[in-house]
Amino acid sequence: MADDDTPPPTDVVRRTVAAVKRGNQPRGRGTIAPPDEPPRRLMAAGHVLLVGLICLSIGWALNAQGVKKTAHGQPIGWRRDVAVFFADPVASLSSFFQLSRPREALQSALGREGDDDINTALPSPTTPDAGGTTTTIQTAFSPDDPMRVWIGGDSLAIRSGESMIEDLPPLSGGAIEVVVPQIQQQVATGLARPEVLNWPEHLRSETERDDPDVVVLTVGINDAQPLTGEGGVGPFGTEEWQAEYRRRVGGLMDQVLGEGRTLVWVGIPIVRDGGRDAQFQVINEIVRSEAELREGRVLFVDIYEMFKDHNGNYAEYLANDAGEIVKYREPDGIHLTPAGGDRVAAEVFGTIAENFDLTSWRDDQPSTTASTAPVTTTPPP
Amino acid sequence: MLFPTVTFALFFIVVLPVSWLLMPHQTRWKLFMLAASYYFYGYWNPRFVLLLVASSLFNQLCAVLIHRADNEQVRRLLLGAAVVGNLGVLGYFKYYGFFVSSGTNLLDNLGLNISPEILTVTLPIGISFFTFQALSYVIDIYRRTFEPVKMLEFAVFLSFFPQLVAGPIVRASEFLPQLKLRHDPRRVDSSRAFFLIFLGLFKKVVIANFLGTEIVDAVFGSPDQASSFEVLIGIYAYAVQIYADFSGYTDMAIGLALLLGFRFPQNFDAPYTSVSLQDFWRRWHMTLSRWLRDYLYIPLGGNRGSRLATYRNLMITMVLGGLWHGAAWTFVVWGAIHGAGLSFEHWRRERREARGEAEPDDTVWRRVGLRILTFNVVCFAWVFFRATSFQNAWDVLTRLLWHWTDPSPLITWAVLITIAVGIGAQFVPKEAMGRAMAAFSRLSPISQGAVLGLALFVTNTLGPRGVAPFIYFQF
Repeated sequence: MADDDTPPPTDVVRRTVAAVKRGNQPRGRGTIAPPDEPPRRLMAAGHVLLVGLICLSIGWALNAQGVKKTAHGQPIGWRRDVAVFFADPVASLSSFFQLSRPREALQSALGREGDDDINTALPSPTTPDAGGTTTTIQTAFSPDDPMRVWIGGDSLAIRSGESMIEDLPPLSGGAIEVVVPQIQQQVATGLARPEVLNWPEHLRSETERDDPDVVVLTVGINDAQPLTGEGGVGPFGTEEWQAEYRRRVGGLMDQVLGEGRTLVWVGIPIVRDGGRDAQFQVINEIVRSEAELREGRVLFVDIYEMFKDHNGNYAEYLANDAGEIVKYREPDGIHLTPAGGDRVAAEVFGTIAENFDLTSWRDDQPSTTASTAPVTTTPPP
Repeated sequence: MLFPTVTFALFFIVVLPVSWLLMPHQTRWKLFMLAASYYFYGYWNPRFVLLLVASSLFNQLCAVLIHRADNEQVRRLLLGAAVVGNLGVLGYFKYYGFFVSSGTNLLDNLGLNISPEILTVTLPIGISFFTFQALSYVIDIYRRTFEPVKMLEFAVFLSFFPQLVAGPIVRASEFLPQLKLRHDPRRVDSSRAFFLIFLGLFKKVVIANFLGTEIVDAVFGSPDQASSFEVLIGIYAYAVQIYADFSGYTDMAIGLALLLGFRFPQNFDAPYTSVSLQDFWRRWHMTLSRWLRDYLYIPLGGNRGSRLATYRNLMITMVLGGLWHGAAWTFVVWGAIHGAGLSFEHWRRERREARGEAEPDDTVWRRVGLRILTFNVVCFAWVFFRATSFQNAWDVLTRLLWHWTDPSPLITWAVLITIAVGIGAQFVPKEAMGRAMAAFSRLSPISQGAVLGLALFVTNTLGPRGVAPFIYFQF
């Protein structure tokens, strides 16, 4: 806070108006010479528009591949149609005239090759063995041989993921190691729009890099829309939509299981908007039923009821275990606050602890860390 | 609608020429600008346009009635109604849940157990900014330093889209006189405008987003997983992130207004070059600082009373300034740290003057020392500003103490260089910026367009996909 010895506001006003007058009244040869600065040439509004259009044209031509990906990632509707109508041919021309090279070179230098690629092929559920697949996975972990956990998802994953990174290792006494230094968030993505982010492809590169035992995934709040890409169908919620979404969910689950990992899929909590809430329940139900088909290998963490008040309605504030009123939800009526994230993290830990042995090392028993147990997965229908 | 998006670019390409074409026809221009601003605001949530309209009508009514009233008591009553009305709406949308939950928990601690149903309230974007702008208009009229303007002009002032959602906080007395000036479409200060727009774009899209995703979110999200070195660099990174994010937005706002022929007051002046907290508040969010000084600190008595009264006034002003930023006790602590720091500086200066001691010599090393000290005090306060709770702030600060030997994978050369650039750029002399703008202004329009096109290419390619919301939108 400045003290009273700073210039009074009237001086500021006087200076502002004087500056406007200097800049807007005809004077000399079309220049402005503010105090302490060299004179600048002024420009006609028409030329300003011309400069803006040239700038946008050059920027578009050089960034055409990125603009194309952005256009394809727009919400389904006429705006996206128009954007794609213009973006696709410009991207083709840019590519033809090699104008996309500088962007590719810069992305390559930054280690971000393939940022603009659009791959809409999604895996289907696999049925390698009609009688079920026997996969051996490790079920017991200790601080000497911790469970490696990868955590990521859409924007709903941010707060709960941060809490999990913070809480899972101490809750397990060190038997869990989070393999990512920070939550692997991909805001505004899901399984509905693979051209925005192809989750199976992205997740495969992540798991290949980090080699986790368990993948904790939160995806779904951006999926209440028509499905694009391979097998695309719309509108949301029809039988065809549900069948295709089920295929995508099952395909992603089987991809993770096929790599010998366990998948923990965190569901969607109740949200403020009733219409969206009904949509999210459809998504929750599909994920739950697909997880049940892969019992023991895909663990569905249902957090829908967790944020209801005593009347069964959505609540932004709720009492915690100590009886204090705590804010659990963000003002947008969808996302979680850090306190909400803590609640979800505790639930995820409970689910993992129920399904894996994270404690026998405490009993000083003979080493169980290398023990394995066969788990049978039932193929999806 | 966010500035760094294709949607906004298309919106502005339509608004710019139409605005200049209509400029000679004042009423038509005002109607057009009002419609454009309401469209801009309603693009996010059309329902809240009604709130903006209601705020315009209510404040204009209060202003006109205050202006017409002769009786001082009536004028004071009307001013009180305006202040209560504005702060009431702000309080409902922004602080309702905070106060009810804080009150309930306080009663619970006292043994009175109540379980109120807490309504879920959506916070309209920019409400803190346009509420303060409206208040400045009504208070200036009460003080007889300004006269009411026509309803349409006031509505344009309150909703003018470049500054609507995140400032700078432009006062009626700074904006409304500009409506009466003849704007010459042949004399647009475009070089400064483009310079500010692209500088702001780079700050936001490249610097702020990069630091946020690479280190700040991880350190504050899971401090117990970070090393002491990561926490320290994470705090410095946040200082640069919030500066780049907020000053980037206001740079763009000032530049866009300039292209439309309007001058906004400066909002930042190299704040991390400050040699004291008082200096910092003359350089950081200058329009808020001035607002708080003129409409809160000085009416409270400023530094004209006793020493204790001055400290009290500083603390009240800064704590309320902190609360203005968000409905959480962490913002209150942020404001209190600044209030205490300003009081301490005041006390030291007064003691020196009372002893008749001269100001210490202004050597280079003294300035460097004061800058480092001020920057670190500001960063300490930023921890509470960024933290999601006291526990989170405590975790961050205590993590600084004992984990210096832990691995620090979040610290990369790119992070360190970005922080260095973010701070170092504030020491670039203003003359150098002025010379760059002057040189740019002498280029032909085609050359200017080409230079800016290349700048757009670099910014877009370096920046992450998508645009993160501006930090100050939530305020």
